[in-house]
Amino acid sequence: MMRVMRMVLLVALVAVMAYPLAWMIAISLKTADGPSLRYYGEVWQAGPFDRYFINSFVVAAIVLVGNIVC
Amino acid sequence: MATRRFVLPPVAWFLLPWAVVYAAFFVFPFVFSFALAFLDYNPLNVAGTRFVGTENFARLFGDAAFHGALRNTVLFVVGTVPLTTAAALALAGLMRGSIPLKGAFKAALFLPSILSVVVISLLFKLFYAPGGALNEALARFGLAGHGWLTDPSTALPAIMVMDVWAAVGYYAIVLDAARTSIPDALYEAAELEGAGAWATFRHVTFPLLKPAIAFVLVINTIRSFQVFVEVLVMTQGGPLGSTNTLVLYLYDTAFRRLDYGYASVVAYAVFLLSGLFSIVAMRRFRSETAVEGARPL
Repeated sequence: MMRVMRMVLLVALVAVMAYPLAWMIAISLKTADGPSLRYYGEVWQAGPFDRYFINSFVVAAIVLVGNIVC
Repeated sequence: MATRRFVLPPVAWFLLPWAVVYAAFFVFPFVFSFALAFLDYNPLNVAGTRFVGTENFARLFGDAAFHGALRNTVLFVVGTVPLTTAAALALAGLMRGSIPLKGAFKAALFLPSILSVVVISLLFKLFYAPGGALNEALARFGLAGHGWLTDPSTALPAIMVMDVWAAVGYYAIVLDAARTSIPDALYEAAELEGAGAWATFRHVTFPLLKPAIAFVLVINTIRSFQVFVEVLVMTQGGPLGSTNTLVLYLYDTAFRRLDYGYASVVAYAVFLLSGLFSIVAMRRFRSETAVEGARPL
C-alpha cells in the first residue's frame, strides 16, 4: 500500500517536472500548417548553427579533459 | 664561498601549471579588484583614474538600487534554498528501496540539469507569457490569466519557482546517492523497534544525511546568491527593478556604466554575503556522527 502511494506521488511529481519540457517539444513541432519536423531542418539554415555546435563541443571537450587531468 | 644552486623539488614542477593558472585567473583578479575598489576607474579612460579612498564603500550604503538588488537576492536565496532542499529530501525519500521504474524517475528528475540555464530561462519566459502555456492551462480551469513576468509582485516569485523546478532534481539525485550509503541494518533495527515512516526519517535518515544536506545547502546557497542568467534573459531586472539581483547589478555597474571601482565593491559584498550564508548553513548541519560526508562533485 505504501509502495503504491509512493509510486502515485512520484508519477505526479515527475509529470510536473516533465510538463514544461513536453510543452517545449510540442511548440517546436507546431507550425502554421499542422505538426511538422520542419523547424528541425530550418534551424541549420537560420545561422551558422553547425559552427556554434563545433564551438560548444570544443569548449566542452577541453574543459572535460582539463578538469579530469589537472 | 661555493654558490649553491636553488633546485625546485620535483613535485613543484607538477604543481606549477596549476599554480600559474590559479595565480593568473584567481589571485590576480581578486587582488586587482580589491585595489579597484579604492579607485574611480573607467577602462575607456584609464588616464582619468583617481584615488577616491573609501568613497565607493560609502556609496553602497546610500544606493537604493543596491538595496533593492540585495533585498531581491536575499529573498531569492531564502525562498528557494530551503524549499529545494526539502523537496529534494522528500524525493530522495520517495525513491528509497526497490520501486519499479526507479531509473526512469531519476532520469526524469535529472532532465532539467542537462539543459542550459539560458534554454530554461527562454522556455519559462514563453511559459509565463500572457498567451503562454501557464495562462492557457489556467484558462482551461476557468481561472484568469496573469502577466507573471510583467507584474512587479509576481516576477521574482515566478523566477524562484523556475529555479526550484530546475534545481530540485539534481539535489534529489545527490541526496539519493548519499542515502544509499546508510546501512540497511539501521533501517531493519528501526523497523524492529516499531518506528514509523516519520520516526525512521527523523532518527535514521536525517541525522546520517546531515553532511550531504550541508553540501547541498552550501552549493545551492552560493549558486543562488549568484543568480544572474535567469534574470538577464527573462526580465533584465525589471519590471521596476523588482527582479534586479546583486550580480545583475554588478554586471550593469561594471559593463554598462563602466564604473569598475564601485562594481568591485559590489563584487566584494556578494562574496562576503554568500560566504557568510554558507558558513551559517555549514555550521547548522555539521555532522554529529563519524559517517563520511558527501564530497563535492
